[in-house]
Amino acid sequence: MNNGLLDGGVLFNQKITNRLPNSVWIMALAAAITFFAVSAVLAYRSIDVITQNNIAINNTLQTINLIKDLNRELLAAESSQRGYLLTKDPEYLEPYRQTLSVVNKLLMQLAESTAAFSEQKAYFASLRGYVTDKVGEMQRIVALTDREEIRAAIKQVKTDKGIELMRAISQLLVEMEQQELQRFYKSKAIAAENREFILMALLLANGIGLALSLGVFYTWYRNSTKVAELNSALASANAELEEKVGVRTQALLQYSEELQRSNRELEEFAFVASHDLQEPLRKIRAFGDRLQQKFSAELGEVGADYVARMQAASERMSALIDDLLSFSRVTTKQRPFIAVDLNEIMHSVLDDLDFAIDDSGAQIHIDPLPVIDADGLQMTQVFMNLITNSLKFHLPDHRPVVTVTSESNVVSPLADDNRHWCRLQFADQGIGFEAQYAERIFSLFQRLHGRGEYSGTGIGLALCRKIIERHGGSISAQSEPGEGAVFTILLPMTQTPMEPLKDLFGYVT
Amino acid sequence: MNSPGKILTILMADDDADDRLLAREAMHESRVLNELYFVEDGVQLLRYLRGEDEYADRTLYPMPGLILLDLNMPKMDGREALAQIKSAPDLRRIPVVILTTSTAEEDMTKGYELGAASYIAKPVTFDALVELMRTLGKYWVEFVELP
Repeated sequence: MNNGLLDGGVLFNQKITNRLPNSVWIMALAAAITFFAVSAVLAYRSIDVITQNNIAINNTLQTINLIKDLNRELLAAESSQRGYLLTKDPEYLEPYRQTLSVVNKLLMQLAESTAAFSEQKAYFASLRGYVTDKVGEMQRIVALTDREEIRAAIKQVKTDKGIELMRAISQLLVEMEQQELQRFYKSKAIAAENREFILMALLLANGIGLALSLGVFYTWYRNSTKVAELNSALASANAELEEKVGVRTQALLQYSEELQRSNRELEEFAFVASHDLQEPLRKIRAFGDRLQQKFSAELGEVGADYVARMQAASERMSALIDDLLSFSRVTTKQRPFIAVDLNEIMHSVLDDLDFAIDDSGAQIHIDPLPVIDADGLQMTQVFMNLITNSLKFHLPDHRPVVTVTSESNVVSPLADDNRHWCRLQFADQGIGFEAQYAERIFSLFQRLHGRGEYSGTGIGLALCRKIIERHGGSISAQSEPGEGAVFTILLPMTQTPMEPLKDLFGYVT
Repeated sequence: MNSPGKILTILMADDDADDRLLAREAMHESRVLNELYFVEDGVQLLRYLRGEDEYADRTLYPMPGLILLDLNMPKMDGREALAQIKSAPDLRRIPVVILTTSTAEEDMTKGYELGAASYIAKPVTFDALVELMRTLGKYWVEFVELP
């Protein structure tokens, strides 16, 4: 299920990537940036041209105004000077004086406004000469008139030099004005041209900008629609998955409950069956006893042998049923886990086996053992079974040697478990067994030897495994024939109370 | 103290015919001169003790000095019968020994709580049963003072 989810995620990612590769986005962005940069440069240049043009036009208008002012002033001075000559009235000289006071200023301004244009500069140079001459001529005439030398003044006027100068000045002014007007029209044409270009550029820029915006919007819209679609697909896939997980969990819970119930029933069955089975067996043995005691004469040797075999079989069956009972009691009659000192457990086991140990001359070495959370009685059963086995299966003509080693604070073999574990090893130097039987010996009623060789029902190791597994640990065996056997027990040192399965799944059902 | 040789009347309540037979034989083997009477369930036991119907004749069915009680019986089981005996003023003084196959701890506790004098698991071998009958006879006849 998990894998399915991951695969789905990758699939969606690939779909998005296939639709719009990154390079296309980058190229589109580069094109947009280039376009806007070029448009900006062109627009700036056009604006610059227009600004220059405006300056030129202003200059032209200023120049034309200056030309007109100069012309008017000179004409006013001319007529003023003539009036003075005719009337000798100083009042007539007023405009003349006015002109003298502004003419230099006007010339300076004109020089400035024509300085940028070489033709106008040339015209201006001649104009300045003529104007200076004209002003000089007028000053001479006015000076002569002031001194009452009217004749000399008239003679001077009659030279027509003044009129010629005036004509030349007018001529120059007309030409200069002409020049300025020409430049004005030229500027106007350039301005018009530029305006057209700017208009075109603006239209183009706006058009392309609009197209780009639309493109971006469309792509974004299409993508967001696609993303929304994918999201909703993902959401529905998740919902489906969650539902499936829910259904699975439900099924698992049911299955687990069923399993627990059937386990419980089986254990109860084993308990009740083994208890009830003892009843008829007790009778068989009791009446067997009666037969042996009351009718031994009638039975004869063969009959007595039959009854003895019957009794032996009944006894064995009784032992098997007892074992079955204790096996089922591992879970039906379990006690809670409490801190148990395994040294004390081992001590009591060795005490109980005192006679067997002395009898066999066994050598027993026990490491210091840890204190762990466990069911003390059950741990006693485990130690008892393992040590009894080692005492039982010693090599012929050899004393049993049992070594129990212990290692605490072992890292847990389980994932997500930070508890400390311990490892106990029960090693002997007995007859051992073939490696292929290392698992089989832990099965219920499995024996590797005939009853004639070694007694026992085959419950001991099965019981050990059931108890160790009830404690959440594991037990395994390694051996070779004649090389002794090593039984390894791994147990968590602390026990946590069992969580209900529902809590474990985080589901309320 | 009871004089030696005094006969103790034992009433055994057990639905198992085999157990009744074995008990009779064991009693015989034990050579203790006690009388053994039988009932097969709790209802019969109470009728016997109260002298109802056929049990009215105390020469045929004398009042017992000791009751051996099985726990698992039909009609009325040993637990209820024990409770009724111990709540009847004229019966409560009769000692009751539970003799059963059940070794369940709750049965044992319940039995003593209800007023059983002893709780004994049925012996597995016949010899053990004989020994039990002998001991019971001796104990209740020779050592125990009863009112």
